[in-house]
Parts: sequence; C-alpha cells; structure tokens
Amino acid sequence: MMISDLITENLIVTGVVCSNKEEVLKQLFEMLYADGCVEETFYEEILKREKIYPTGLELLGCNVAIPHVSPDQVKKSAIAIAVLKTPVIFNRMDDVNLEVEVKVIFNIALANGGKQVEVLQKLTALITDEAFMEKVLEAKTPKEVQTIFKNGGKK
Amino acid sequence: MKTIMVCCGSSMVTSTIAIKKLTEVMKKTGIDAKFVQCKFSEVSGKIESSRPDVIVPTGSLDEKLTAGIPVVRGTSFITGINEKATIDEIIKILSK
Repeated sequence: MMISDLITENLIVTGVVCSNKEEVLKQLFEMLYADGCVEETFYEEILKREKIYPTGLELLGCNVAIPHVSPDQVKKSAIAIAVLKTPVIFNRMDDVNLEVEVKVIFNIALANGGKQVEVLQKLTALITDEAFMEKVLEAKTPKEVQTIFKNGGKK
Repeated sequence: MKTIMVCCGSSMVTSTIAIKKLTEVMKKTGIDAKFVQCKFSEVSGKIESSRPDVIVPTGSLDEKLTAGIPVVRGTSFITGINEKATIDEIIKILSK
C-alpha cells in the first residue's frame, strides 16, 4: 500500500478557519464518517486521547498534529488532512504541558495500526520535509494537496 | 541479548515508526536487541515480564511507572529533530 492510496480528495480540506482544535477535528471526523472510514465514536475517542496523549509535533518547518486512535475505531484505513489558514493549538506529544501552534492536521485512521509501517514511515518522512510541507501549506484546493502527496509519495 | 521497550499512547502508530528506525540502528551497530512494543498503560505490567534494558516512549510517559529503568524519550524518531542524540543515548545505555 502506498501513502497516496490513503489520501483522497474527499478527505482533504484547505483554507480552514477554525477557532480551536475541536472544531477542526470535528470537520475531519465528519468527512471520515461520511466516507465510511470510522465508527461513530471516533471523534470522542480522538478528543479523549488528545487530552491524555496529545499529538502536536513541533517541527523545524511547519508544525503538525497527527491525531489517531486505536484500530477498533476504524473500518477502512484513510488519512484525512486539514490545511489551516490560521493555526490552532495542540498540546505536544513530547510534553503534554507544552503547547504548539499547528497549521496542518493529519487525522490518521488505520485499520490495522502497526502493520502499515511503510505508510507511516513515508508520512513521517514527508511531514518533516520542510520544502514538501511548504508546498502543502500553499495548496489552494484539496485536489492540489492530493497531487502533492501523490508526487511526494513516489520519491 | 538486550531488550528495548518502545511504547506509545494507544494505537501503536508512533511506536511502530520508532521500532522500525531502531531496528536499523541495532543492525548497523551490531547490538543484539529485541523489542517489546506496548501502550503506556501496559508499561508497568510488561516491565515485570520483559525486564527491558531501556524504555523508549514516543510521548510523555509518567516516569513513576518505569521502575528505575533508564528512559530515553523517543519523540525525535517522529520529528527527526535531534534523532541522532536520542540514538546515541540509547546505544550508550545498551553498551553498558
């Protein structure tokens, strides 16, 4: 499986303006749910998990968050993406007491978690690539984001 | 044989990435090591059964749970920032 198999246009939003992470996560959940990827309880589980084990990552380029929950909440693997116009605050994965302003959110829904190692590895390689993330931030439409990942995922 | 415990919040996503990277490091450095992968909530119990030489949590793990076993924070395996320092620290502990 390639990373581009998991990233589809209908699961991407760009130019998002939200006042907090809950609003963004709700949007992402609604897309995933409408597409039959996740259980109805996915959103609650995501919020619960963010509280205890947050997923905000402070990176050299663009800060991101990678919210995810256990595979039992997932029916069909997918990665939903929100590119924000104005950042929202997440707590940091490496220290729950610290906050980070996040501009791109990858809501990872994997039906069999650890087995998709290559996909996860590829995703981490891409989110830590400053030039790549700059392109994602500049993308105007979901289609553009999808294309960027399709091309970036090949390298 | 050394034992490395790699743990994360709940779904094995980030610990899987860390194990993948550490497997390559162990191969390169010739350290004979095996991995125990678990959730943060399982750490106490798994320490008893697996007796790890080092614990690598990808997020903030309550160190009260780790029974004095050395802990090296492994978030850098996800962010790539200071990854080398993390690896060096783990190798140093395992080489003792």
